Amino acid sequence: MNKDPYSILGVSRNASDDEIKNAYRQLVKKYHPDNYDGDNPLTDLAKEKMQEINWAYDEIQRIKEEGGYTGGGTYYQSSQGAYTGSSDPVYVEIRQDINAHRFADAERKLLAIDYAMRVAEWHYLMCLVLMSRKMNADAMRELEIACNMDPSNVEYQRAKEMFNQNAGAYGNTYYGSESSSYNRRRYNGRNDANDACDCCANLICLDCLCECMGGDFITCC
Amino acid sequence: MFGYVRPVAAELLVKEHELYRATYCGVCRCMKKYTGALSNSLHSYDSVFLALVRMLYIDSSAISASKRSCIAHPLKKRVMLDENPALEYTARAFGILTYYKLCDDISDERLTKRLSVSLIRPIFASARRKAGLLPLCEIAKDRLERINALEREGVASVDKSGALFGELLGEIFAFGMDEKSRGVLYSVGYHLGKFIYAADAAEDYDEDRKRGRYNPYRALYGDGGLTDENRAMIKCALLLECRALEAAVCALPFGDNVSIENILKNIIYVGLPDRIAFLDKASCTDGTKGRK
Repeated sequence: MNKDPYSILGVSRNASDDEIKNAYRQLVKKYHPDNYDGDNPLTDLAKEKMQEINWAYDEIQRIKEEGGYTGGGTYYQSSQGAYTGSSDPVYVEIRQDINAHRFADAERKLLAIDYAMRVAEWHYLMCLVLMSRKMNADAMRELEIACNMDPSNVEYQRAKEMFNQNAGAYGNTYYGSESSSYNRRRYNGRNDANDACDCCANLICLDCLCECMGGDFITCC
Repeated sequence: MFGYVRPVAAELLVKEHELYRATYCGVCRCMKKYTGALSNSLHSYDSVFLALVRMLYIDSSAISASKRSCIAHPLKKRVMLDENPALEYTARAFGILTYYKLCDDISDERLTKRLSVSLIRPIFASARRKAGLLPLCEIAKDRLERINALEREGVASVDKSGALFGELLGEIFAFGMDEKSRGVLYSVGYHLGKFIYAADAAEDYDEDRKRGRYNPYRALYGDGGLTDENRAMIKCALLLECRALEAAVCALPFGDNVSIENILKNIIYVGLPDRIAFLDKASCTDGTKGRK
């Protein structure tokens, strides 16, 4: 599919996460195959539409994730303006490697740079390479060094926020916190509508993944 | 062993809590049978997680429970799971892990610890022989040796040695399963292992600093103590590990096993974050409080 995922969901390019999620849920409700009887002539059309919607949603998530992980996509371009450090051709080249997901090349080039020459950007790019390998703790350490060396850099700060948001979304400790533990969100979504929706979205994502691999997880769509 | 992997009992249904305890007792009984009479004295709650996960892959008709008494609790009979393939495997695998962990600890510099380890090690040596899972022994030996080498080298990274420990747990979770299930099981073990390694290192930071032992966070942040910022970052990394673990656990084939599903989700959503609550405190010195 080479359509614009944003226009499929009917949201603008700078829509917030919630707007995108809402639009996605509305559309899923509208086109869900369960709404159509087996002999309804619209069934096939709805199925097609569902696939398109799911693809668009996944695509937007992917774009966002990439923007965060690798500094690629729109995120990279927008932060480029704010980026004030050196325009050292070595780092430009490494950024290109990272954007093209050639992480091994990027790492080799980074490690080839002498200790004394390792500026903030070196640590930031190293962080991106480590992220690609899911070595979160080390990646965060590199990011912290980058932030300390160049506290005014918007790009690094934004990456740091992204880390914190991702971890914060997971929740917090159960006991020993100021607010009453019994008022916390239930961990298993027994009475949390939001979690139930997330679960559905995850299942649909899983279905898409299965279909990509040639299998099928939810047979009806 | 570590005691990090436990549910928050307050959030479990009574029947779920009972199943959890029954599984614990079931693993304990199996250890006694398969890995030597005293090996179950070193049994920990961590193994229950593995037992529950592996129980998802056996026929549910093979799982049964009965009320028995045991040496540790002679007065009151307890509900315990009867032996089944998942419990047997868990007992054997943990026997192996404990044996190699003890071999590892014997290189510890403290004399008292070295003595006590050399006293209990022979029990586990037989555990290993009886266990009969040779490939797993090789993996355990190899990974723990490589972790040791990294630690001797004083590597300034949690992820490098953590990943090795993750690989070890991943292999333990996935051992003997068919290709289809291996992927999910391996990643459950992998992320759990990374979490345990990093959490354990963070908790031991102060003690290791006093005793002058290696600790990845000492190598990273020096001996000046962890600042609030350092702690926040360690916690952030641990929670990201939890998220990866969550994704893997949610892909397990729960089917009708609602109780097992709730226990496992309790562990990853509230149990693990609760274990790293010590990182919120001003000082790590009372970090042993939350531990078994």
